[in-house]
This record gives sequence, structure tokens and C-alpha cells, in this order.
Amino acid sequence: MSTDEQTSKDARLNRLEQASEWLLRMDNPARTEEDVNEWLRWCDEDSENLAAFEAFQRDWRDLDALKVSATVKQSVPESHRLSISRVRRRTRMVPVAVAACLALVALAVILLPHERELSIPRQQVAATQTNRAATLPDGSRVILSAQTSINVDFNGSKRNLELSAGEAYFKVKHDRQHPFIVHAGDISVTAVGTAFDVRREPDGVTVTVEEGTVEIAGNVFAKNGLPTTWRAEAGYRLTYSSQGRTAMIASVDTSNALAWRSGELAYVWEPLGAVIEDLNRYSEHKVIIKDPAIAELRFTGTVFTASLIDWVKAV
Amino acid sequence: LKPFEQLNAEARPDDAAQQTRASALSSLFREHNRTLVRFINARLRNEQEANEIAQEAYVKMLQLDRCPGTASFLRHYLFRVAENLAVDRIRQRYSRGRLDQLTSIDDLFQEALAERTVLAAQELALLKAAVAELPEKYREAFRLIKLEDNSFPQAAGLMRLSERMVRKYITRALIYIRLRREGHTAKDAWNKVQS
Repeated sequence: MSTDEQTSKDARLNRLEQASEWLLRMDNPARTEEDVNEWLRWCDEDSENLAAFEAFQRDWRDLDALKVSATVKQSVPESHRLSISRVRRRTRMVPVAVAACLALVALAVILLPHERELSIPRQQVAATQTNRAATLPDGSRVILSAQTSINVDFNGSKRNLELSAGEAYFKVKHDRQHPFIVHAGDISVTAVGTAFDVRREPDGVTVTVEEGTVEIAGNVFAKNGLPTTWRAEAGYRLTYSSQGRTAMIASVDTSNALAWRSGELAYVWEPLGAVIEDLNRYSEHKVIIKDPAIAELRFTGTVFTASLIDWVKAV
Repeated sequence: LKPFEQLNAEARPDDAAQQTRASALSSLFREHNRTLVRFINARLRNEQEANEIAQEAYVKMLQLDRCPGTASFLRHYLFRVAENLAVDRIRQRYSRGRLDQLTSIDDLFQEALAERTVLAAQELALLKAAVAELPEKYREAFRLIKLEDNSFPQAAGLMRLSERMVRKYITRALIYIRLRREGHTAKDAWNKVQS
């Protein structure tokens, strides 16, 4: 910047410019000692420098609030919220396609030994009551739904993740050398560079593939004594049942099926008990249905996680 | 948090050399505590914890056996101690084992570390509006960096721009938002940013 430009700008603006650059430099996790020393010198130059830096640090933190609201659609009028019906949330609703697919999926493959049990360094992304996005060390993106936590272990030749409960969406950074494996109870989902969703349920796991192809391996032996693997492509959902150790694959509208990422939960003809169980993950106050007859009532509609309490009142 | 003088009194009050150093540290505290807290907060993103770590750093300094010398060296040392404490704190929070690559771990937990602030509805609306007022490229850079937690190289790749350009969009967006928060009109703030 030339000296002419420099002088024509007022001093305050100049300071803001420097302070905002310092914010980014100091915010960088890889900041060096030299960065810190230079920053200290800059702070020493004028007491207002630090004040400007403080203001930006506050702004930067406050702007996090937009993150939360960005994932929640609030523009739909209240009166429409319950009547929009959209999606088949679970594939057990589509028995015809399922029967055909079942025949396709029983392929025998050797199960890999599970060396992941031995590796120690693991981190956990903790559960919260709202959806949360995070970038993993390899650049992959993950969106966790409410009350969901994952364990991450990227130290070996494989990128191992463990989903013990809840639902998570993964957009995997392509890396052929390091397969990305999500362990979810009875099954493991392996991807190289795709986007998919894994959801754990009390009686099984569903895997929804948005992009590319994933391979799903059973971690327990099937009843015939052989381990199994399945492949699911984009636009398909695999539903694994732990009871029968079987899986079915059916096509699915992924944008609707993955609508939870933007704070919408859609159901078609779903037992109220299952809907409530799902919604309880998003709420501080748990709803308990005492009468089993009520739990069996069917619900069709979309629930916005941002206005759960209203929905419960309406029901 | 305890006032510094009280900490001071608790640390080996009978030692004369200690007393000299304590008074040197006391002035260090007065002069640099604000900077120190900002420094730690850039790492921890939590005001409360940043204050705690700052305090811990002074306690550590008071417990040293040898006096680290000149004021500037003392300050340098204080920041080193605080940095180490902050890194330890991050480790403690999330690890159940050995962590080798703290940098990437930082990225991973950026989201979790961020302090959830409750903003008044009015203030939130102002921030939203200010971001919405920015030109498209600025908004795009802001979304990628701030809302989706991409790194600068990642955002630059996605926008097909140089990293320097993305930084420029972000710093200008920040200045614009700051000026709007300080009560400047949209037009006035934008003119200033562009000047």
C-alpha cells in the first residue's frame, strides 16, 4: 500500500484493518511464536490497538450465533409446519422393492480382523441437543444430529470412526490410501470419497448414500455362519436389522431423507412412539407416552427442530 | 477469580527474593493481563477459561525458583507458560490418550470449543442483516470460513481464488460488521471499507 493511500485513510480505519488481520493470524491454530511476538509489539504500539482486537474477537465469537440459525429454516409459516408431508423416513415402508433387493445382497466376503480395538488415541466429538457440523483432521465434513457422538481415530492406515448412537452425515475427503470406515454396532461402512449418512436405531442401522458407493460389512456372522458385505450406491438406503442380521436396500429420495441436517424431521405414517423417541434427542424435556395405544397412532408430517415445543403442544 | 495481590501473598511470603520478583510480576500483571487474556482466548475461545489460565500462569511464575530477568524476558516467559497451559487445557478437555497432532485436533474441535453465546434478538438481527448486506463474494467467503469452518486454503480452493483474496474478503467483512455494530449506516460503512 502506498503512503498516499495510507494517509488518506483515517487512523481508526487503519487500526481496524490491522486488528482484523491480527484476529485471523492469532486465530490460526498453527500460529508461530514469531506471530505472537509481532502481535505483542503491535499491541504495545498503541493501547487502542488491543481495544480494537478485543472488539473483533467479540464480533468473531458473536458471529457463531449465525451458525446455529443458518442450519434451521425459519421462513415457513407456523400454520404450514405440520401439514407438509414428504418423505419415507424408514424403508420398512416399501416392502416390494425390499424383497427384490434382499436376493441381491447376500454376498460372502472375508471379514477383516479388527485391529482398531488395539489403537489407543481416540477423540470424541461430544453430543449436543442441536445439529452440529465439524471438519475432521483429514478435511472430511461431518454433521451430527442431536444427542449423537462419534469417536475418531485417524492414526493408523485407516480412518476409523465409531458411531455409538444417533445419526451422522459424512462428506468424505477422497483418499484412496486411507479408507474411511464408520463402525456402527453390527456393521461397518467403508467409503473412499463419498457422502453418506449412518443412523443407529434400537433394532438396527440404516445407511443412506448421497454420493458415490459405500461398502457395508457385517461385523457378526450371519446365521449361515458366513460374514456378509453389501454395496449401496447413491440414492439408495440400506436398512440393517440386528435381529435377523439381514439387510434390505431400497431407493430413497436423499434430499428428503437427509432433511434433518437443516433442522427438519419428516415422517410418513410413522408410529407416534417412534416419532417421539426421535424428537426426544433434540429436546431438553423428554416426552414419555404412557398409553401404548397412543404410541401406535400414526403420524405424517414435518417437524422443525427449532419449534419442537410448539409441535408437542399441538399434538 | 482471586485478585492478584491475594495470590501474591499466598506464594512463599517469607522469601525476600520472592518478594522482589512478586512485585515485578505484579506490575507485569497490571500491564499485560488484558493482552494475555486475548492471547489465550484466541486459542481456547472461552472467556472464563482464558481468565483462569491467565491466573494459573501467574501462579506458575510465582513458583519459579529462578527469576527470569528483565521485564521483556519476563513477559515473553509468561506468554510461553500461558500458551503451554492453554494447550494442556485443550488436551485435558478432549483426550483420553496421547495426542500427537494438536493442530489438527484444534481444527477438529473448533466447533466444540466455541463458546456458545446468547445474543439478544436485536443484536442477532443486526449481525444477520450486516452479513446479508455484503456483496456476494464476501458473503460466500464468510459462509465458507465462519459458518462452515473451512480453512483458508480450502475456502480459496472452493472459490477458485488466492488465499490472500479470501483473507481480504474476510477482514473487510469483519470491518464492515464492526462499523455497522458501531452504528454506521450501510452506505457509510461500505464506503469506509472500500476507501
